[in-house]
Amino acid sequence: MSPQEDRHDPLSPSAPLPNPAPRPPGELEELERVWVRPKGWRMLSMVNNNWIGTIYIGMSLLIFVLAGSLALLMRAQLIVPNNDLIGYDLYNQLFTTHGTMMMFLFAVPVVEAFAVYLLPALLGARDLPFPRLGAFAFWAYAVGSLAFFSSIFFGIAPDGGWFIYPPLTSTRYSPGVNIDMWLLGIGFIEISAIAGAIEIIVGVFRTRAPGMTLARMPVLVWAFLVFAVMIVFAFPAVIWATILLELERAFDWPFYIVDRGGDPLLWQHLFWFFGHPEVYIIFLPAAGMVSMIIPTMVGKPLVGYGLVVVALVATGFLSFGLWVHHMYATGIPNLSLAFFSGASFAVSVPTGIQVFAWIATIATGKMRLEVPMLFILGFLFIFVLGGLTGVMVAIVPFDWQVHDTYFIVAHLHYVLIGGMVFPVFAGIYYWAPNASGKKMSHRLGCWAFWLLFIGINLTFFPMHISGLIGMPRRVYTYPEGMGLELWNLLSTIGAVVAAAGVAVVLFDLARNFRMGMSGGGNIWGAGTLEWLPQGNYAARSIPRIHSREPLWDDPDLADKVKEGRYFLPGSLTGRRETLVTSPTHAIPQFVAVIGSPGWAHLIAALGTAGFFLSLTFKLVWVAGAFGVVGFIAMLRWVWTGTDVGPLRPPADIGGGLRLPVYASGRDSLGWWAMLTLVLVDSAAFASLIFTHAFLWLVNGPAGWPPPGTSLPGLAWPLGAGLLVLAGAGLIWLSDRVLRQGRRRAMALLVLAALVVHLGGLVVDFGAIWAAGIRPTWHAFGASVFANLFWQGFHGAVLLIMAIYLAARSFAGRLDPVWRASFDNVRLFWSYCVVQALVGLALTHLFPRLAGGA
Amino acid sequence: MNLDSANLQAVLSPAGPYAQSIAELSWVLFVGGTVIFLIVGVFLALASFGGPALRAHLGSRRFILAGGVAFPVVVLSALLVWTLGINRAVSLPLGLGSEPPLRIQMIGYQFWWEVRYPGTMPDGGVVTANEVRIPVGRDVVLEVTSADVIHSVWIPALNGKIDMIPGRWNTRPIRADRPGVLRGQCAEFCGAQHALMAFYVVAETPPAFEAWLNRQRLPAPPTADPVMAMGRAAFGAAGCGGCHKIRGTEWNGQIGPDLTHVGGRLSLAAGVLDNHRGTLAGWIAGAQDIKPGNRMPSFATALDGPELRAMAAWLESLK
Amino acid sequence: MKVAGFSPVLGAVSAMLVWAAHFLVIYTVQATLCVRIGSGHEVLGLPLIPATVLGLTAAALVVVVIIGLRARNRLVSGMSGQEGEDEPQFTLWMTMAIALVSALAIVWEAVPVLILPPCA
Repeated sequence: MSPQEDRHDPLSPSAPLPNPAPRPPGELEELERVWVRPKGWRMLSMVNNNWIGTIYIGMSLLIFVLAGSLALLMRAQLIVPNNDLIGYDLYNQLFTTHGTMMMFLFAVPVVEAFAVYLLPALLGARDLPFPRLGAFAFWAYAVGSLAFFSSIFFGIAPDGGWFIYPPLTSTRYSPGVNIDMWLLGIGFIEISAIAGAIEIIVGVFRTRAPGMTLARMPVLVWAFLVFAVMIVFAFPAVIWATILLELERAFDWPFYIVDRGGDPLLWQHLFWFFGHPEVYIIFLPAAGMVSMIIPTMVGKPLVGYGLVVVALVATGFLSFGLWVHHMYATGIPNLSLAFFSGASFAVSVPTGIQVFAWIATIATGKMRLEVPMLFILGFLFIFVLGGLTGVMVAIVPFDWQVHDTYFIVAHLHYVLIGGMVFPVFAGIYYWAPNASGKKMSHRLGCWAFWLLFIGINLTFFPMHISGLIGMPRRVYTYPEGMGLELWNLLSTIGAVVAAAGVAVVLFDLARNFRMGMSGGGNIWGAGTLEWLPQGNYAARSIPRIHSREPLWDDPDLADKVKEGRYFLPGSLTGRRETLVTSPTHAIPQFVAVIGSPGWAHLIAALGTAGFFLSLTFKLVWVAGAFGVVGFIAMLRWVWTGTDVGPLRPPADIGGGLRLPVYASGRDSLGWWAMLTLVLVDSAAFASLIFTHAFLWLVNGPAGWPPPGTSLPGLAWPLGAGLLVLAGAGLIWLSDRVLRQGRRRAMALLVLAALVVHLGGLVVDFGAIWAAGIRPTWHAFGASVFANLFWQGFHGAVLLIMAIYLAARSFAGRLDPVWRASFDNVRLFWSYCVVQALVGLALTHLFPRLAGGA
Repeated sequence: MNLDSANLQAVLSPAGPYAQSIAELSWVLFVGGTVIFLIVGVFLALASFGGPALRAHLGSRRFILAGGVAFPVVVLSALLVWTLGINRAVSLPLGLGSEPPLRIQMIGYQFWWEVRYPGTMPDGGVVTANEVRIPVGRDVVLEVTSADVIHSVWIPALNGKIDMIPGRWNTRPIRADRPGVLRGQCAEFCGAQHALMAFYVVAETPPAFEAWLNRQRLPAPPTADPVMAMGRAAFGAAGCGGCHKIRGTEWNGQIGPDLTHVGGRLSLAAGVLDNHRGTLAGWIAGAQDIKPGNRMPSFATALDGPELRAMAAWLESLK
Repeated sequence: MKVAGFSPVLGAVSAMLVWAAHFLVIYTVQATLCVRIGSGHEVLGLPLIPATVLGLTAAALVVVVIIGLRARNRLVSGMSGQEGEDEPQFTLWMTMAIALVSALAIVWEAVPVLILPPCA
């Protein structure tokens, strides 16, 4: 029985509207009161996704301008050969900071910012599932990225290239704090990106409007989903690489030092396992925006929706098979390179599908040449060209010539500016009226477009040629007489023209953009839910969905939504809520209470940022102080703002649907977030396993462990493993006990499990130390201690969690029903047990089975 | 350094068969890419402004499957097979002729190149710097590694680049078809003076190459000329021998380039300066002004004018 | 009310997971064998590395084809070529389409062993 056939099913199109009109007096006022945005200086405590999202977009545009101005300085230096305007020292910082900021601090954040702003509206949700986490991610990013940028004024900006390859970035060749600035600054901001990704994944799967099956999600939602899943699997690799390099720099653990069994290629594998997906992480959401804007501009649905979705998903996967693409010249066997060549070819097919789907859609309707459409046409021109050079550089022998030359600089800017910046500008012109209620200037928009289009092509097309006539990347000067003068001059002129285009966009924004949901309505005549009338509470009531373009199918939808005729037109608990639906069919399951404005997440963000910045400058005590403040703020945030419990009995959201206002276990949003976090964690742990396997391969079986090293007897890891398993058993028991309502017994069992688990880790550490293995002697010891470090870090997290659970049970905030916190900890604990056992095998069994022990 | 020719370091001006293959591949890619770019542009124009019947065709799933799936699968399959063949051809020595390939080792340093010819002398081989001499018409296998950070050898007119990675020996075959001078450059960012880390490749006829190799085998000659002797003494007094080796003298430094035949090289400071008495003196006096951050100190204050000129004259005489 | 879980989503991408496993395994096997054994060895008269890679490829293709065919058989609407908006039609259609892309990627990754030397 499908919902459509049943008139009594409140989700069926033939069923009457769920709620009667007029709505009871005071319902709307209550909703507005619950969702009100703090005013004045208290605005800093706000969490509303529409406001945070808008400021987030603004912040990332600021970073774009700052990083872009660094590029202008570089172009000024390269305008003539042998120029001495900017010295090598500053120049090396300029290109490193430019690349790092554009990739990590503009491209990924601006997409997350768009997701924060748009996603709830696209899904018909009231807000993101974890508004405070979103605000935390924003503040961490804002403070961290400004601090990172400022380092250029003090000459301590990173100077090893945005990929910071060791050994150039080891303490031996880069003793200053410049590289630490990269490792700690960027490492910290990646955590913020992951927080955003978790929020997006849970939001997409669990907070869609009723009836919005997977196949009815707007393409942009698919793109955000693939984007977020890719972050979950790609970012841990670079975080892990960063941890290893920082351990090497700070404590002399030789992961990348050849003389002691390390290998610089380990860094390259880990970095590019993140770095190549990163390109598609940036591109896919932009492609999603294109798939939203074109249908609106031609007034017809996207042709080949399913094909485009498959293209997005396939790209998400295939882009993970490309990382050696950046390592063609490292001397890896040709056949290995060819595997990556094959994957590179395969990934271009989904991209072709999207390009032809866009052309097909244009063919079905009548195109309006509004500013967003201009930027889309510019995108197609520039991106197709960049895509074609992308196929060229996927070919190994051709890449051997152009790798690390200006040809690549041209290619990557065509792909990133064409594939990402133009769609984002199209998106700004397209969605700005959604936030401000008013279109931006058509005349200025046209000026901006043509300046940017001409400027970008004039800057980057000549670079193909300068690369082919011998100009390598990352050079602060070049000799005269090699034929490079004209092309560099043109590039510099083009950069100035493009900068003028950006300035026009900023001017237009300053003049015509005023945040304030003044209700401009569906300004472009679009078909998707973000154009419903919006308040701070998003849509007044949550509609049921029967197609991909609900606003086109039902012209009265906006009015009926605004009248509160659909689901959840008010607040059931007097707190902020959103409707939670099932992951594939989007059938309503419960109403989740979500976070409201507060200070804890803000203080936590500042504390975390301060912690990492102080650590960069080796100010250990200051870092400790920031860390404590941030930690206390986080505890307060979690204690007061999450798992608020069943505030009331199940209630009617309309159409006779009675839903609970609380869920625990596998249904709760927190459990899904924890599951996603476990995926992040296992991706990082996979990098750890790769570290061992790769260094084993490099050192040879006889060198793993190196001669003269003996492993502790197998009884030790066996004992450690049994203790960890015993901990898992105690946790299982604590669950049984909790179901019986014996809260204190539960708390004691969890604490006992903690002691046993940590005991297992201590036994392992003690045995390794007693066997004489040290982290600084050889990459083997370093890898073993990296494993210990990772397990110990998780042990510390379990320590906090166990004490937290005990505290909650004593405070009466944990019982057989009110137990989401317990279930989430149990999930994480199970993961830690598996990770600890695999870790023991990696240290103790792997060298015995495959190595020389 | 002023050079007349603009094609010393250009991908599309190959001087040997490996680079020739890649240049041909490049042209196919450029022309093919342009054609596909134009086709997409024409489709876009037709989709926007074409007649209703044509647009009905373009606005269908069939069009997406034809243009976005069938066409790329066919073209890319063919391209994959074809380019793998080229990949094979340019990564292994061709093995033409009876002679085995000549081995040349290159070792990257911040920011210069050591070049060795293993097996050319009883106790090892000729060692030079910042210049690779090769015989025309014979396969040469470059064996490369690094002494410090990662560098990359790139001689566009002969073949694609290959990274120099500490702890690894990588190889790349090259071959020149005609005599001449070519330029190579470091392609992997290696620190402060990455921009000024170039070198020259001199391709010579086999007899000329043998003659050069024979000269390289000789140690530096003793000198009777008083100016030269003064230069030699200044070299010792300034401590140059702590870093530089000159065969035939007492100096055996291992940090900087071997200077046994420095006067016979085309460039100084890894392709930065022409090589003659004046530039030699200038480099010794102001290495840190010309190439800041490199490991050679400036000796402007340590040497007086006559000493400096004499040292430059003596070094220039080491051909 | 029946609430379908997450498994249709995993099913839809399962062929891509096969691709990922195939990719990882052939890359690891080739790299490890080249470092540890070299290119000379033979198994059943075939050169070891190409034979292993091709065998793994055949196995992966079989799995992908099974995934695609099973989805096709379960598709109520048959092979109309159009994806439906309802479940499970859409995820089944996705399963099928993604199986095709995966098969293509698997084939393209295996082609090089026929052309290039295994370890040089």
